[in-house]
Amino acid sequence: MDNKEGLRWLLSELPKFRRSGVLDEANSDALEKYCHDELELKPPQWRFIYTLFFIGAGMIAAGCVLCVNNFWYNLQAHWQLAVCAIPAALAFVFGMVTIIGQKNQLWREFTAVLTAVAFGVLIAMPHQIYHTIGSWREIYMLALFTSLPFIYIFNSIALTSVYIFMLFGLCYWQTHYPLPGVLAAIGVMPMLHFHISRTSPDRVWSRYLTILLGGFALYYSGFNWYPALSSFALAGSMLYAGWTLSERNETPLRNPWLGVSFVSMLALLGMAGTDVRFFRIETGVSSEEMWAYWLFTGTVLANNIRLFPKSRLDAKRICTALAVLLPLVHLCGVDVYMMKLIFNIFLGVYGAVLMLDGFKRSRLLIYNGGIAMVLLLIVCRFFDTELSRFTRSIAFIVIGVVLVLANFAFFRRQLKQGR
Amino acid sequence: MLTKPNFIRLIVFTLAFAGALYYPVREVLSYEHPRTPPRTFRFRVSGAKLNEKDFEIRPKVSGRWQWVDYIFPRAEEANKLRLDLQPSQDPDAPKKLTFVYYPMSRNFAKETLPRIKNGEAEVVIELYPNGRWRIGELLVDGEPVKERKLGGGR
Repeated sequence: MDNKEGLRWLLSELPKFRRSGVLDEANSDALEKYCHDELELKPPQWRFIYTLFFIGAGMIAAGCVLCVNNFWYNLQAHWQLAVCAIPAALAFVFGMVTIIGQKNQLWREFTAVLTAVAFGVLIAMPHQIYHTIGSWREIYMLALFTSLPFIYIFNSIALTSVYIFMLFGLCYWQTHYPLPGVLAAIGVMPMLHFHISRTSPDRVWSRYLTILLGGFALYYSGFNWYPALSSFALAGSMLYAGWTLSERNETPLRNPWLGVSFVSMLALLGMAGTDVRFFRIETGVSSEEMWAYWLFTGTVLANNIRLFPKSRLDAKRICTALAVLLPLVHLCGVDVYMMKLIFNIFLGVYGAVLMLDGFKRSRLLIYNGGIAMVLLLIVCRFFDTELSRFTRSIAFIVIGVVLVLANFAFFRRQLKQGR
Repeated sequence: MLTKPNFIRLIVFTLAFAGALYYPVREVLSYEHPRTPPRTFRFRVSGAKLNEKDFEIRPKVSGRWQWVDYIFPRAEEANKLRLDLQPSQDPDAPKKLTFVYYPMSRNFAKETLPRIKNGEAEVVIELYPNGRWRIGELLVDGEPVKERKLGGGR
């Protein structure tokens, strides 16, 4: 329990102490005042005033935008430009005040977002006013790259979030030139790494942002040549990190990597064992697409290599590493049907390993993960194998009995350990 | 008093700000203004008694606002709309009027449509050095009319 949580707990318990006579009224009031001062809590009326203030400010801003919008096409071009420059001028003033006045994080976040939005407007509007040559994609990309330095200058997690969400806007333009988009994604990685790897208050949110960033980069460039390798590399990288956080007893909400990467890994293994098209290698890929692919896949593979030795070496981590490396076998000349068979066997082995690991360490989460993998294998093969109905029924009964016995043994062990 | 990290931050912020200004300033400064005065082209509207009801304006979204971009930027739809505007004999005139109406701008409400009277409308077009053009002003029956005051009988 950190200091603030302790103070909140004390505040919630104060009425009880007062009623039971542990504290007299004067001491109780003094303690309450102390807690409020420490927590900087304001009375409820303040919240109401703040809410009204923000609603009012929002309405004024919306009114100004509507007013400008109404008269926009009656303004001369130079007046239109002047209007566009107002947010940038404000951003400059706010930037100076924030830095010179050494303002707190809230100011920094606001200034960073304001500056990025102001330059987005200032870059886009001359294009709209003068109809200059250039596509909206280029304008969008330029606005993204322009906002990147302000993320670092103001150490702003709010602008980082906006930036990552805005990256998805690039998916609107189908393009054979994905390199700038991948570079834009890589540009924000140090910021996320900085927040994740230290005791930042935003580290949990940064974990969620990492998933979004990985998803974007995979969609934008990871499918360009050999999707199997890039997909497994990304899922494997997150799974290592997820296992590590899980062993530090982080709750599922604070550790989104584990759930997302496990489900992704499950889906990928299911697809790899079902459809040979999963191992397709795209032809006619331009050199830029290839560069973008390897920039993303190489970064994720390097992350795998970085995380693997850090982790405690056990069977499930070795299996995760194998899942990342197995798609490379296809590049060595093994045909797609053999790959499908390999992944079917691997899915069964991976599931069994997880079940055993969960059983040995009495971790229900890992054990259930193993069961999910084995069940996935059974369900997938039920639909696409050409065994007779009788054979399938016998196979189902045998597997069902094994699962029931395994569960029985697991719970017996749990009971013995008094959990 | 500024600390050393904040002083560095101030310098970097100023540089980043100046760098971000580079593109818009360059665009504005290097912009070649259109030929002056703007060229005026006269268009005849075919079909007698053409009025607002003859326009098939399909709303982009349900509600009060109807968006013009479904009509004008698409040449192939112009015939369906019976808005057959013929260019004059002027060789500099654009071949298709359908592209004349704000090709880059989409969000124009219904009331910005020209009200065409007596089967004739005049359009003043700014021709830009880069080959693009847009309406600078709209004349109806020879009278300059602000776009906002057009249409809808308001």
